[in-house]
Amino acid sequence: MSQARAAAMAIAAIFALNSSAWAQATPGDKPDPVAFDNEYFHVTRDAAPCGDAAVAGCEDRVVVAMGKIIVSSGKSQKRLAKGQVAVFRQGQSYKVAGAPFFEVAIKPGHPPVKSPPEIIPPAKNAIIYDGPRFFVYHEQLAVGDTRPRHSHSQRLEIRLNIGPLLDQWFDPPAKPLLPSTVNFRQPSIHTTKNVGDMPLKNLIVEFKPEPK
Amino acid sequence: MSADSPPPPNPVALENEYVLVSRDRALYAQGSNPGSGDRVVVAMGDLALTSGGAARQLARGQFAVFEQGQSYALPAGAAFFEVAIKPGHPPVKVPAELIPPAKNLLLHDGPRFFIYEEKLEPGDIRPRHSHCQRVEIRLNNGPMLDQWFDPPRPPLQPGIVNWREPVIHTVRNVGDMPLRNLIIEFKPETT
Repeated sequence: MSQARAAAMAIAAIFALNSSAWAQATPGDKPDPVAFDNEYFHVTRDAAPCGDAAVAGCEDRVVVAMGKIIVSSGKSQKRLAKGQVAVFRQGQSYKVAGAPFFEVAIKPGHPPVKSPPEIIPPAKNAIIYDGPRFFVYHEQLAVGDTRPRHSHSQRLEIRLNIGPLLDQWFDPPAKPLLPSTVNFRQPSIHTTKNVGDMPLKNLIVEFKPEPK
Repeated sequence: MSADSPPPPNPVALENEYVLVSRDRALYAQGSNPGSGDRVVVAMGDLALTSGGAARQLARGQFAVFEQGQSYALPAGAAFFEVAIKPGHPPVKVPAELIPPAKNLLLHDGPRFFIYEEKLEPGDIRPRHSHCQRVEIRLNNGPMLDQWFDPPRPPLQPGIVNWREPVIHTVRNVGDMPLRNLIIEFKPETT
């Protein structure tokens, strides 16, 4: 078994006991703790299964506050407000007090990062962390504004401004339609315009292109 | 290379066997036009609509309903949707149980369809209710990206106009802005 697969299985096993695909059956139930999972990322909601660095598969991690939380690591303590982050590398452990938040764990041994044929930095965003393998930024665009042609590698998007968004429960029971607050985006070169009625504000964890 | 400005939006906002929704054009303004049955003009900005020699001011989200034989005119450059209900459409699909939705605002009640503003505050829940088939026009949207790509491919335009199938459901607004949609919903047909 590859190291990557073993890591993925270790993280998945943490949730196997408590979650199911249709976990949110009624409005009173808590949402599924797994907000997103693919070959690159495992994102949990209001839980930090990778807080202990000794857990297999827990190396590069980003804690994203969706409200006021306290993240402690060693002797340091950091108070975070919505949209702020704390980044941890291999070997670093932490605890999170409060909610809501997302824990973004980048899977060690993930497939090669896909990048666009041309690297064009997007204007108007705000970088808040710049590491060797990924960077984190606030993607922002005012109402009516246009971001000129730019590109992205693969990335995880967490929406901070959402607009109206319906969570739904069906009769007869069907798979709940969970709103997509956390999304994975493939590489692209594009131009964008905010045609909505609220400023765009997303927290993005974007891979850097890998050396060829 | 992608263009500096987005391509013009598709003038057909939605089309299926039941409705044709046009953006900023009024294909069925003439009551004598074949296919001009029930129509609803939904303003997406301030506009002056004329019909039968009378002028009517509409603000965003307001609408005018026209029946077979009635005509109207809209000024050039106005932002609106023309919702034309196709005469002879297939039978209306209905849910297994009819449960009126709470917290909405009924604005028009006709023999074949009704129009309401669908509203729900952030954090609020609408208890179990049902809908027949309907057209949804989003009035509150939140951040919404129009995208055009390089290499060129069809632009990704946000879904302001949507078709919804019958459903019985419970909903909660987990967003950070009030839900506000204009809904044109078919009534169950008498058999």
